[in-house]
Amino acid sequence: MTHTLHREGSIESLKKDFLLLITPAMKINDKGAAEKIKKLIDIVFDVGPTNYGCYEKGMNILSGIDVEVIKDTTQDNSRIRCVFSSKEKFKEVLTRVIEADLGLSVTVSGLQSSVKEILDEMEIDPHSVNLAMGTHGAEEKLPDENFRKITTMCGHAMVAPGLVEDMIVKVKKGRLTIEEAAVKLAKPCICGVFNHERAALLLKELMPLYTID
Amino acid sequence: MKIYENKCVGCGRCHPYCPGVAIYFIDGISKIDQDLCFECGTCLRSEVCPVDAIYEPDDIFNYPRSVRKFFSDPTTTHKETNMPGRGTEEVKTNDVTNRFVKGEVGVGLEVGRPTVGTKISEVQKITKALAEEGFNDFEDHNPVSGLMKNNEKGILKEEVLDERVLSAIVEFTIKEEELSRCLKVIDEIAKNIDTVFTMDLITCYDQGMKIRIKEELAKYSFQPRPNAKINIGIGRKNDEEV
Repeated sequence: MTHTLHREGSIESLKKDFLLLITPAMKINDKGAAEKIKKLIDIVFDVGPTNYGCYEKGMNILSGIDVEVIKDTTQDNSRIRCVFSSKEKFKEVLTRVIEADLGLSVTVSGLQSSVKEILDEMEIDPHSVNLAMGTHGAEEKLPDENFRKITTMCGHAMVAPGLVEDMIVKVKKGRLTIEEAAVKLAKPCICGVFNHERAALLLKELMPLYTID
Repeated sequence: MKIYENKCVGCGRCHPYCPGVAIYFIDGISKIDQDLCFECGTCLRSEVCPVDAIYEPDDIFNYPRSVRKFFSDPTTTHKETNMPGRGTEEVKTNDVTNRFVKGEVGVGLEVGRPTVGTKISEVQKITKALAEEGFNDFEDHNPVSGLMKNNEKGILKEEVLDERVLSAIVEFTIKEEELSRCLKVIDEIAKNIDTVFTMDLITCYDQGMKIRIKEELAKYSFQPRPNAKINIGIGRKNDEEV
């Protein structure tokens, strides 16, 4: 339901994190949606997403899936899920998706203030919003708050807190660069909404906070 | 998920990939705790095992063990939703479904998120507490609806209660004027469950991106985060003219 919602971290760290979701509605406009989605995939890849996922193959572009494979596996119930780090690119892709006018629902996920600025410029009055109202309950069971800033970029929880810890150790021991570690963290997120560029910035912040044996 | 004992070399590479921390060492090799395993498949998809010792046993699709798979592995498709993953369309298609109209609020409680996971019995604690207060307009096109034995009372099927999943979303609709009472019920629920949940509120905008329930929310400790998911409203039904 909400796999791009509840991304934790400071406002500053979320400023370069824009998600685009395009979804056929079951029994309303999903019939024949596959061809529309393929056209939209072309637009998205022409602009160049930071990450893009493919449920059908259980992979994202950082784990090596090719755009042609993504298109070949597209069905009427497929969805577009991707993330952009650049506001300019995000505006461009949104403009072109709107111009394509294919009738599928478009949802954007990001800082409300940034999204409002973009939509105001495009003179779009949005329809509805899903607000992230926080995490509640037995909060003592939650993983480390710093790790969550990274792991919550995969709303399906496919990126384990233990993997963040493992990456910190490997970077500190010189086995991986921060950028390589960020890409490894992104791979389990098959929806492709994990922003590895943001993860690299967060990892840099975390490094001095943790020691290894 | 399981690991072939005769293949595993005990390298431990798969351990950090498990969101459930279910993989452990015993006698020099790795094993997966079958109670802790969510069947999310992350360990297998990571492709880090040098000897291909991780495998998915056929019986994980046997009910009720299958509940773990369908609620934890986003590569699976629920028959209730025809959607991949454990989610629903919620706000993502609201411009064409009108699932939530002005005057209504969609509420989503994603039990077990983030990463903590949950037994289905904890999900039932929530559905029962909500139903007792009359909040039982549970979303039909939601995987949790497939587990319901009695919608009106929020009772789930007994055989699934011990299954552990990464998360399950309790989704229902209320009237805007019920929001205050509903938030109080949710506040009480939070004090009485043995896991965590994230809360979503879905509402239509008024003109100018005005959040209709903003003033009501200001009265409570529940405050929206600065980031949100926004349906920009350009979807159409198939039979409408371009």
